[in-house]
Amino acid sequence: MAISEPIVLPHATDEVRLARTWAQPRGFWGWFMNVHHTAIGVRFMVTSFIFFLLGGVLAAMIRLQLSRPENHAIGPDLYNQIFTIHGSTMIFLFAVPMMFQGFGVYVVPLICGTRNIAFPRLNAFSYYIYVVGGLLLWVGLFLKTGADAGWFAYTPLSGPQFTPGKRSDFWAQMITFTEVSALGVAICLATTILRQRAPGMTLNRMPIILWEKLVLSFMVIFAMPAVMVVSSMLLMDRTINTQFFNPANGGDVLLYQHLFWFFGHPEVYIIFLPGAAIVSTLVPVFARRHIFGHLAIVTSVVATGFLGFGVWVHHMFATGIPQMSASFFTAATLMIVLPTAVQFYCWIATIWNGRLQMKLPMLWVFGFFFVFLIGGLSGVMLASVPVDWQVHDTFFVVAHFHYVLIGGALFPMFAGLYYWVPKITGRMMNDLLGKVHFWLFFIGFNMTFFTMHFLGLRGMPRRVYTYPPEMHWGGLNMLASVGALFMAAGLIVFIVNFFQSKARGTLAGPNPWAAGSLEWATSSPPPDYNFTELFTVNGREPLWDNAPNQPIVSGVRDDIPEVLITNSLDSEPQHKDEMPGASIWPFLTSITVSIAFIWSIFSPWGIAYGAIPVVITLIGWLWPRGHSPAPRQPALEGRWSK
Amino acid sequence: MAELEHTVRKGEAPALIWWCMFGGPFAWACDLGFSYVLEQHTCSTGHHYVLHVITVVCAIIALTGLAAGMAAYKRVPEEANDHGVRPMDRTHFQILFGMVFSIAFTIVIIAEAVPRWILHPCQ
Repeated sequence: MAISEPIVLPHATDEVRLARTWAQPRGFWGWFMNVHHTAIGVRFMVTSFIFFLLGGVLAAMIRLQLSRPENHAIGPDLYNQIFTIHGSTMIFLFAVPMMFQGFGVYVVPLICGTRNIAFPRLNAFSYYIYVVGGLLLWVGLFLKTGADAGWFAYTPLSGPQFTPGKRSDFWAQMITFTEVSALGVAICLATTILRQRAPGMTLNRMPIILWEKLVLSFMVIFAMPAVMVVSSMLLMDRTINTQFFNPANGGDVLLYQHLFWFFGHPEVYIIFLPGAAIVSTLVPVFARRHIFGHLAIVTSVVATGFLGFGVWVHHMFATGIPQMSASFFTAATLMIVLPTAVQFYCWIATIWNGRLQMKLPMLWVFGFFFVFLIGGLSGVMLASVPVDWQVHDTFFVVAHFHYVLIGGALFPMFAGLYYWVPKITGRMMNDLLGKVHFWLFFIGFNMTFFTMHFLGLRGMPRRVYTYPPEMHWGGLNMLASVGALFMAAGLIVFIVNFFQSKARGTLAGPNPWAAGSLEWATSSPPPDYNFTELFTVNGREPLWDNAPNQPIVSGVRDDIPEVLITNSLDSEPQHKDEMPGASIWPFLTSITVSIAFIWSIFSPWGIAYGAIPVVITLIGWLWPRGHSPAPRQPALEGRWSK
Repeated sequence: MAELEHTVRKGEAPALIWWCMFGGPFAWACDLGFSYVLEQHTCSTGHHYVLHVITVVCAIIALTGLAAGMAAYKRVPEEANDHGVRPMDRTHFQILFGMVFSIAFTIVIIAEAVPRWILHPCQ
C-alpha cells in the first residue's frame, strides 16, 4: 500500500453535519448519557485528581501525626484506616485511573486520528463503575468502617479472624469496581489502537505513546484478573466462610500474596509506563527532532510488559521462600532495569542531539529524570535479598516506592497536564505559576522522601502511628513533614493556575508547541467530531512528516457517527463502522452492577438477586434501535494504489 | 522458504516472524515457571541436573526465535527500512524487533541461571 491519492468516496464531509451528528448531549441527563471519549477522559482525569487531593489530605494527616514522637493527635485505629485508604486511593483511585484511563481515553483516539474511542458505551460504563468504587472506599471511612489492613490487605490480618466487621469487605469490593473499570478501558484502548489508526500509521510508525498504551492494555487484561480473583476469594472467606486463606483448613496465606503481587508488580509498570509514554512524547517535541531509537524504545516497552510479570516474588523475599527461588526473581528484577535504562539513554540522546526548548513541561520531565533515577537505584538495592531483609517494612521501602511512583507517575503527569491542558481547555497555563509549582513540589518531595531513606536505615518501621523519643527519629520526621507542606503549597499553586488559566489564559490555538502528533492537528479544544478531515500519515510524527499534498480520507459518512476501521498491522482501510451514540444505559448498568456488588458485601444472595436488574439493564443497553448500521464496505480497495 | 519470501514481500506476518517476536518471552516464561515449580522436586529427589536442563532447553528455544528472525531477514528486500509505509517495511521492523527480543530474553535466561551454578536447591 502506498498513499499518494485521496480516497474518493461518494459523500463529502460537511462540518455542520458532522457537528450535528457527533454533538454531545447537554443538560443534566445529557451528562449521564455522554459517551464521547473527550468527555469521559476529562472526567477520569478530574475525578482521579480529586481522589489524589483526598489521598493527599490523608498523607498530610500521616505527616502531622509522625512529625514528633509520642504524638497522639490521631489514635492507632484511625491511623490504620488513614494509611490504608491513603495507599489504596493513590494506587487504585488515582495513579491508574489518571495515567492509564484518563490520559489514555482522552488522547489515544486523537493521536490515532479517529473520531471516538472503540466501544464508547463500555468506556462510559467503566467511568461510572470506577466512581462508585471510589465512593465506596471513602464512604466506608466516614462511616467508621474504613479499611485498615494496609493497601494490599494481607491475610490473615484482613481475614475474618483479625478484621471483624465490614472494613476489609469494603476494600475488597472497591478492588472489583476499579479493576472492572480498568479492564473495560483496556479493551477500548487496545481495540482503538489496533483497528482505528489513521491510514499510513503502520505498526512501525505507531507513536511510542500508542505502543505503550497497547502494551499497558494487555498488561491490565492479564494482571487485573489476578487481583479481582484474590479480592473475591478474600470476600468469600469473610462472607460465606470459605477457607482459601485459612491454613488450619487447608488454605494458604501465601496464595494471597502470590496472587496479589502477580497483579501488584505489573501494576507498578502500569503506573510507570504511561509516565514514560508522556516523556517519550514530550522529549522529541521540545528537542525539536524525532525520538532517538524508536525501535529500541518500543522493544524496551514491550520487554518491560513481559518482564513485569516475572518479578512479583521480590515482594515476598521475607516470607521464607527458598534462597534459590528468590534468586530467580532477583535476577529478573535486576534485568528489568535494562529496558528502563535503554529508554533513559534514548531520551538523553534525543535531547543531546536536538535543539532543546526548556519549556514548562520539560522542567517536569527533568524532575522525572532525577527523581525516578533515585527510585530506580534504591530499587536495585532492594532487589538484593540481604538488603531487602534488612530494610523490609521500614521507611526505606516507603521512600523507594514513593520515588518510583511519584517520580514515575506524578512528575510525568504534571508534565503531561501542562502539555495537554491547552488542548483540553484551549488556553495556555501560566508559565511563572507552573515554575513556582514545580520548585515547591520538587523541593518538598525530596525533603519528605529522601529523608525517609535514613529513617528506614535507622530502623523506623512503616505503619507505626507513633514512636518513642529515645529512637531519635523526631528530627528527620519533622523535616519530612515540613517537606509535605511545600508539596501541598505547590499543589495549591497548580490548582490556582489551572482555574486562572482556564478563565483568562492565553488562547492556545491548535498547536501551541508545534508538535508532530495528530491531536495537534485539530482545534483546541477539539470539536465533538475531533477532526473535520480524517488524516493519512506519512511518518512517525505526522504533522512534521506529512507532505503538503498529503491525502485525506473522504467518504466516511457525516450523517451518522461513522469511523474508519483499518487493519492492525498495516493500518489499511478495511471498512467503516457506526459508533454507538449517547445512551443512558451504561450509567444505569453501572448502578445495577454496583447494587449487586455492594449487596454481596452483606449477603451472598446479593449476587444472585442483584443479577436480575443487571440483566435488564444489559438488555436495554444492547437492544437494537435507531438507524441501521452503515453499510460495511469490505475495503477501500483500488483507491490507495499509486 | 520461497513461500516465506513471498509473504515477506507481500507484507503478511507468517508464523516464523511471530515466533521471532515472541519465542524469547515464551522461553523465558517457561524457564522461570518450570524452574520455580521444580525446585522443590530437585531438592527432594536430588536430581539437580533438571534445573540446568531447563535452562539449556529454554535458552535454545529463545535462540530459535533469533534463528527464525535471521532466516526471515535474509528475505526482506534491501530497500526495506523500519520506518516506511510499505508492508515490507513493517515486516523489517518486526524482524528487527524480534531479533533484539530473542537476544535479550536469552540473556535474561542465562542471568537467571547463574544462581543455579552457585546455590544448592535445598538451601
